[in-house]
Amino acid sequence: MTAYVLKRVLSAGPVLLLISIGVFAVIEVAPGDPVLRIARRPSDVSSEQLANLRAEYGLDDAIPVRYLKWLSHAATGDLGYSYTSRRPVVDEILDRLPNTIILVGVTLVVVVILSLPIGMVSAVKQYSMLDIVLTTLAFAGQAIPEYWLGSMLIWLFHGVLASHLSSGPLFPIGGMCSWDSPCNLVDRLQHLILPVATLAFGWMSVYTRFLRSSALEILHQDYITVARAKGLPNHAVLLRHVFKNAGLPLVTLLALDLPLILAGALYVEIVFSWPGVGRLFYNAAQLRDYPLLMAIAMMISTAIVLCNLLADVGYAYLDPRVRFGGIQGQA
Amino acid sequence: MIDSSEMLRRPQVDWTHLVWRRFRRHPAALGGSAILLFIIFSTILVSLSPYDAKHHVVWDKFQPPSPRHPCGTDSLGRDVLTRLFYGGRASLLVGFATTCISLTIGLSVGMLAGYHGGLVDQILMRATDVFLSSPSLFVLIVASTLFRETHIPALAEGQPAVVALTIGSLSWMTIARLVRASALSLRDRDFVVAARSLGASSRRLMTLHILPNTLGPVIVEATLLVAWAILVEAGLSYIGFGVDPRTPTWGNMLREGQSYLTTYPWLSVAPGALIFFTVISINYVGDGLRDALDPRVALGSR
Repeated sequence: MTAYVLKRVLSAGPVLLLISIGVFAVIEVAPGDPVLRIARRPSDVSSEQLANLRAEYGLDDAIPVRYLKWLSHAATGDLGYSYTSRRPVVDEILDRLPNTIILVGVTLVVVVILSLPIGMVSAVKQYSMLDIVLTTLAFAGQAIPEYWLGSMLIWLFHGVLASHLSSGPLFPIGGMCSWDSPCNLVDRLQHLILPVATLAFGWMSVYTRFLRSSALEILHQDYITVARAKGLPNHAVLLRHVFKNAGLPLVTLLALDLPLILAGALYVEIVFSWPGVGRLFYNAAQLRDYPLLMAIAMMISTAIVLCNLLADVGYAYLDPRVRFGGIQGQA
Repeated sequence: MIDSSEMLRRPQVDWTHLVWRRFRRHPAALGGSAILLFIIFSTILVSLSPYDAKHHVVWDKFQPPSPRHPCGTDSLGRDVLTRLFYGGRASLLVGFATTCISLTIGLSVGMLAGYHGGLVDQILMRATDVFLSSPSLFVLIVASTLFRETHIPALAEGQPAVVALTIGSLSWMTIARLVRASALSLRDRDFVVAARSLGASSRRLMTLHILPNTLGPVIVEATLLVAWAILVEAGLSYIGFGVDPRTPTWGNMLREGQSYLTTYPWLSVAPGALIFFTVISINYVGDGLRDALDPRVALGSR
């Protein structure tokens, strides 16, 4: 087990290194001179001054040299300064990170609380009217883009319902707090409702479908028949045997789906003006803020690699066949 | 339909026939195919529309849906329905082109890794791991400007081909893994060994003997990839990093409608609904194909 974990941890390093080379190359090779952004009003600046700026920001080195500089600084925790705000990139990200964690974390809780029972009910009452409705909803959830669902919710609550209600819109549609009231818990929760609903719908559909099929598979196993044959009441069979075995792989799935979840969060943050890391990245991409882009991309890659690692190790811990080398990892 | 003598000569016909017979049993998959065909034909026949996708009629702007303009008009007085189907051309094209690119990369990488094994396999699969662990949407956003300064018109920034190329180069990994796994298990089977001992080249073995036997799951995956690519393209265009805003695509139309969400909602409802119906139809078709191509699902059951 230790050897397996060690091997997986060691292989994570090179993967991250290669990703950083790839992302750096894509950012640097893409045309567009960040100096023109740094200078704010390039037309007023002489080409000599631009050249000085370029030298100051280290932009006239060759790309490999710049990469090595970036890498050696990043290794000491220095990710550089944002071109646009001129603040340390680390500070910029740390300002936004809690907001993304709140959005994704609350959504995660909602998704787990809702999709576990929904998936189970769907499996137990297979082919019932309820199952058909839930399965269709799950299919819809997978096909509906977050950016459109968010827009439609805004239209529904601010266009359609607001005109019929005298008290004004039900839920706020942008930001994390209202500008005219103290930013207390109630206000924050109200701002969370629509973004979380948008993000949770697509995400839930994946998990309810997964749970439904894995619960169905388990329901047909011999040990379930045994459990029933020995007189275990139905709810005990479902909770102790089916629920536990069907629910556990969800943890792995959760870890492996992180890239998709963060991509969804990026759209939600843009649609609902949520001040998170995704929107920071979006703005940085518009302004060609290289240090910020690079730092966020690498932060997310690290999170993905770590989650994959945790998923593999967790899987090995749960499945003795992997632990003892019966199955060679997962390719 | 097919007489028996022909069936004896061409066993493949029997296979497609079998798949079709299984596929037919899926009402959702059939419905999905019908909707999909309808959308595809509409994007072809939209040239017959009395309106032009790019012609401005300023006094006709922001018309709500009416018999004359079934989906209303946009901020420049252009007919939304006409633009929707012109937009569908670009969106569907990106979806299919992306899948072709992913298939090409994924099939080659997976086949080489699985067939040769050893060091080749190690290198190719580690590369696949790297791509799988990269934050694809974030890379796509940055990569969208890669071709900004090329002088080849087809490769200019915001051309559908470029968008397909960038999305495709980041979405071949699942196919590569699928193909590798089956190539690995097939390469030492008797029929491959027999062909090899008869002097078949590696290339012939890979393309004629192993590849056809890996196609079932690959076809399903490729179908779902089309839907995924359409979603990604629309998303990128929606946030302004996809297809050139002057070309109507569903994502671009959503972007244009965003500012008028509460005042002129039809500008946002229609393109999103088309994305939704296209994607859900493709997903249902993929689901039907999964069952139809799975030899374990008996014809009689279900």
